[in-house]
Amino acid sequence: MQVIVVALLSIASIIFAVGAWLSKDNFYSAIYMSAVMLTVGSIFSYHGIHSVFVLIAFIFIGAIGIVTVALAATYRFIEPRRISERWLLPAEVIAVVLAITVGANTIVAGEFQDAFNRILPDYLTLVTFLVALTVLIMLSAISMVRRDSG
Amino acid sequence: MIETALSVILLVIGYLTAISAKDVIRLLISLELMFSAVFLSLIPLFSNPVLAVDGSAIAIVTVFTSAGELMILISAIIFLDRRFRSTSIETVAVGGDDV
Repeated sequence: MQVIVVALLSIASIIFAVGAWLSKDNFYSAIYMSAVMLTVGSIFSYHGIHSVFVLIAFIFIGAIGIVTVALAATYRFIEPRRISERWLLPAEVIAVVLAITVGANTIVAGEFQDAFNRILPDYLTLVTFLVALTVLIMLSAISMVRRDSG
Repeated sequence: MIETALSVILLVIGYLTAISAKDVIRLLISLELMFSAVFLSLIPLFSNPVLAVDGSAIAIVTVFTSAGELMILISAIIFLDRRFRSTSIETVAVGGDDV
């Protein structure tokens, strides 16, 4: 059952990634990219590694993904892509060979487990990190606006 | 293991997206695809009870570092558009090779 769910999530992830690659519109490409992130986070969540799923969902999908979608909606820039057909087949063959080799030689030692509480046992440290990160981002944004307006 | 195989495939698709991009927004999207591949490659660490703590630490550092890089790239895209009124990669004149 576990293999089937992970395989379905992987297939969905590959389909969304190909959609992000082949889409001519930046907006839809960013949407597909967010869907790839969501499937990757779902794989973490399905294995019980909820801390990494929360990090991916909050920071990558919630913050970076939304900003990327907003940026892509501003600069939609529909233009034909520049894909060299000569490189497509070798790239796909190399990708499949590498994927089979890496997948067959990865060692799974046992059950998946989340060890986040052994790194940061108290939430005060985590809250301090988040406040420091938010203040730094706000300060850099204010600095950019002041420099640009002056 | 399916996850690591998927990681390689996502990385290659990210590369293909990057080399076929004509504007820097698509480059940003390809970078995020590559980062998702990096996150997936961390999954085997969590199957080992000894390495699970290291895996969590690496995941935290990777997520925050990559998020910082992407925020800097987003700022650079906005400045590029303000200066050149374009987000095409043709306006980026520093670095890289002519293909």
